[in-house]
Amino acid sequence: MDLFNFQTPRSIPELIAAKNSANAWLLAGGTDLIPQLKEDRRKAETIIDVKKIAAMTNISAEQDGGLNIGAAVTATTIAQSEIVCASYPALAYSVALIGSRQVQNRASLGGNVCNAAPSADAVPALMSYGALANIEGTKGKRSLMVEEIFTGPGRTVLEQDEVLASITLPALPENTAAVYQRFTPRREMDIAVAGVSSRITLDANSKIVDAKIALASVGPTPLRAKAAEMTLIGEVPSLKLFEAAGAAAASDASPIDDTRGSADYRRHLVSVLCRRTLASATKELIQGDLP
Amino acid sequence: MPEEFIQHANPKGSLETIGKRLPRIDAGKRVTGEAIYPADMHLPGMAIAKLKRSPHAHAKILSIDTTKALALDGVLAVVTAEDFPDLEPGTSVPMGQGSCDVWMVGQINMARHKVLWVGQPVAAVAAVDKHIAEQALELIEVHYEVLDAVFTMEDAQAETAPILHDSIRTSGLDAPINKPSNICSRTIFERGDCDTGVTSSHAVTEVSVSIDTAHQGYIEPQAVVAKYDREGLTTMWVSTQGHFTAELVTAKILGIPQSKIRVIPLEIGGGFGGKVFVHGEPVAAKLSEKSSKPIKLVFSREEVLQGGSGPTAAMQAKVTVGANSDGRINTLIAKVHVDAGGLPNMSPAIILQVLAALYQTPNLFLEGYDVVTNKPRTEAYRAPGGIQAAFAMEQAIDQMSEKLDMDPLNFRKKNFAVTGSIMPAGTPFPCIGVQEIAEAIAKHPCWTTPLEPGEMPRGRGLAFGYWRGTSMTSACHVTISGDGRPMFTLGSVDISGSSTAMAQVAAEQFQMPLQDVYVATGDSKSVGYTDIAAASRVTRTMASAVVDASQKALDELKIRAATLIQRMPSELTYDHGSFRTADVGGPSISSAEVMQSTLTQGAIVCHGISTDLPFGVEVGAHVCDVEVDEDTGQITVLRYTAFQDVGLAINPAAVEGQIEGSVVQGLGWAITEGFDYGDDGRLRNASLLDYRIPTALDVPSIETVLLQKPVPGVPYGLRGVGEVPIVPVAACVANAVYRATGARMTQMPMTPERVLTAIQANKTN
Repeated sequence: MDLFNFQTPRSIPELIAAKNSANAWLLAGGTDLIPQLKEDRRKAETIIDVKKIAAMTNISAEQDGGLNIGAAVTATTIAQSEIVCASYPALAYSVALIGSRQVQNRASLGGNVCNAAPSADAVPALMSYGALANIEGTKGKRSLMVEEIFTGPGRTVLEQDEVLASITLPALPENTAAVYQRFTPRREMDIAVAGVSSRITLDANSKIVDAKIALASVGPTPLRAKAAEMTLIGEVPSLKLFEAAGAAAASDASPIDDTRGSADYRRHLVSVLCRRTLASATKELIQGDLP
Repeated sequence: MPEEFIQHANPKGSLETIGKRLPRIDAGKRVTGEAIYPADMHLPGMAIAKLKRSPHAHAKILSIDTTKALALDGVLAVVTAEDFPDLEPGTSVPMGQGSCDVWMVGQINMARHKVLWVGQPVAAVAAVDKHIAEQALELIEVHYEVLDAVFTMEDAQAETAPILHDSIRTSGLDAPINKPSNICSRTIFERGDCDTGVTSSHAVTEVSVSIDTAHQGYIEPQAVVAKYDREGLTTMWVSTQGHFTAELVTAKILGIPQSKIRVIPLEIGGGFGGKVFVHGEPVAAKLSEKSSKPIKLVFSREEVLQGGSGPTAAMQAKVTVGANSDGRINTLIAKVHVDAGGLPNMSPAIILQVLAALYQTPNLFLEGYDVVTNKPRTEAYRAPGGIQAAFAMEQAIDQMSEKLDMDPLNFRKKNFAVTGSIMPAGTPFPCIGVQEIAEAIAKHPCWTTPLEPGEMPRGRGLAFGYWRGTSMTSACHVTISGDGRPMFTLGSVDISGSSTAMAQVAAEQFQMPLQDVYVATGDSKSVGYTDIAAASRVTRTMASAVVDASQKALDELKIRAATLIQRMPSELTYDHGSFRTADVGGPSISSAEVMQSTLTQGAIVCHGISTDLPFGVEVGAHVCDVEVDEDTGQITVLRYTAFQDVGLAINPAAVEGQIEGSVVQGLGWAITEGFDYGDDGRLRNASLLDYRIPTALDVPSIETVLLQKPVPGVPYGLRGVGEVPIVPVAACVANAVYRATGARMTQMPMTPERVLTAIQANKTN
């Protein structure tokens, strides 16, 4: 780790100005950045601590029933937030999978998103909920679907002058449930070999009217499983349907072979986890066993 | 109470401190962070060393140019193999009944002429700080001629395989071949006639397994501080399993007399066999000599995993068992290949012995090969080879019991070795509670309670393990302080709580409370030669030395006491810190009074030495329940019980800790660990993120059942304890997975992907 400048802006405009003027990395929890700097896997002229910016460290309810989470809010804060647990339980569950308890006390939601790791635990749930990434820069603000900000492993659409300020979770329709499950050989301190978040919305006749399925660790970025979603729309939940959705999700995935698992195994896991998450989400909405 | 216990008990015939559950005497400083490890050391003017490591798995070193590195501001010294004497292959120093191959350890510390694995050191630099040292590494120019490399034992044995060492000829062949080979040796144990055995067997079964290299996983990376002084003495503060071996080996590698090195062992953050050899100590010493500065060298985690330290050997084994219709084993055939890594001499002999030791058979043919590949030289890991051997053998035994439709415990009971029966190497099987363990299992709820069904398939596994350990030599001395209390200096480092056990033995001998005895480890210039802390030997052999020294010191105290109270020494009895006569109302004198009166007449200094103590052979058996997710291949261990004959548990809490820790290590290797080498010979999982040592959430509560059958002729009947509890683990899990799914596990670790593949293949068949 070399010498670097350290800045602590108090507002988002100050942050944007600082980031735009230097080869800088933003520091929230530092759970990825600090080890990378220490091991010389990343060089920095300037480190900008974003934790002193109030707008980035708050969770606030939106007027329309949605929820805004500052990019620097910690995983533990989110996991323990009553409103998150009540309205977006798949997010509360998935942030509590990041690293270990100690890591969760530091790690931020924005960091988990902006690192753009295909395996990021918080991201599939955000994608299933249809979350928006609120980006601010010198030219103003823009909001993208969370999945739109990834361009490759470790890469995002964020420009030099831009920062992720917050994430907005939209208000969800009635009869909506989402579940995230990942597969890791270890119970904690591990990275998903594959992860699937499935969200479904049912109508009054228990037909699936909306489905958003997001996959982790099976492509260069977190992915939406569009073919799997199409399989589900307009159908009534059943084990057979979810098997078919799982098979479709496996074909949506484009995994690689690496030390954490082979591409074939990852595809297989996607089908298993897709089926299981859909069954589990349905269980929250419909009493009794699936046909 | 057995003879071995009573022999050294107090006058009432009971044990007071031995057998008690006590916290470690060093627990406080360890948990508060006050304990000093080499990485904590800071000396005035200290410089930082870094190693330049080979990026190639197999290459000739054509030249090394250090000019630019030396010119960098802040660089104090650079060393390469040229700075060390060119040792002849075969150069060794004594270690126990055998020797330590110094030529090999030298190559681990600094490659000469050729690199044999990714991560092997080729040069080292000392600089005023870490950043400059790292920059200097980049400026060292090494020119290599890259050679074809072999990473698997199959490839290494191919006719056209690139040869790692031109000097190696396969030893132990029936017809010697005078041609270089990557097969270093063939070892055979043979009796009876296996061909006839197989054809006459009622049932024959076979298991073939392949086991990946795994790492010991000690939490403290290798670290050393070395200081060369004006008088030519080098002092090294080290984390080691044997400071005398470190001293002998380092002296030889540096080409200086042993008397010119003093090794001070600091705390050790785990070794498990991986800190028997030195890793960087001679390099730090040489850098200190060249720079005239104290040098600190600390490995990173990546260095530890990527070729900087020796992991344990990968292995392939094929076991064939034949049995008669009455359930008696009649034939045992095993062929084992051991992956030594880049340097030769991982003898398979002990692995063959361990594989077959527990069972009697008239016909036996065990064959082992030591093979070199372009991977880090493997080193010891807790019962080296034991868990690998048992993974093959105990699965074969399980498979045979099923084939014969016999209960796996009863099948084993029928075939166990008995005291005096002949083991593979021709030696008699020792006196140990194998049948007692089997009886204990048969009555224990972990075996008798039916397995409750779950949402996923469940199974119960059983496996036994044998480990011999060794004795070697241990030394200590004791002096008696002015208050009559004993002060012991031990020649052994404490890797297992052994110092606490020695304090208990000393307290027992002097019939004093534990806190009244002083026990410390001496450095290599303040206590007598003691072999490495390894092979389950320290507590047993050092206890014997402590008893020896204590008896001598008590005898000297008694003579002084007798003079002071004007009696004959033979009239006096020692009882809890005082010498008394047998007559009622007769005189008595405390050892404190004795020392107060005689301190200036000369110190009492007595030594204790234990050499070639009878082996403390270990046998254990494990029972586990697992649940297997047939969709993902994930194994969940639900319940785990470990039975072990421990001879006598000096400190049952410490013994249980050894067993529990051992099981956790075994579960890691069995399920989630394992080295994953890429096509270029680089380790792909060289971090603790991807080299998955179990976390607390990954292991169940582990129950231990201690049996105590003393070793004849050993003070307190002590056995080795710390190694055998890793031996049965993987086989136990594999047998449970088989019972759950019907799939035999042929690869270790049994990663989820491999388990899934095995389950799917089994369903297809």
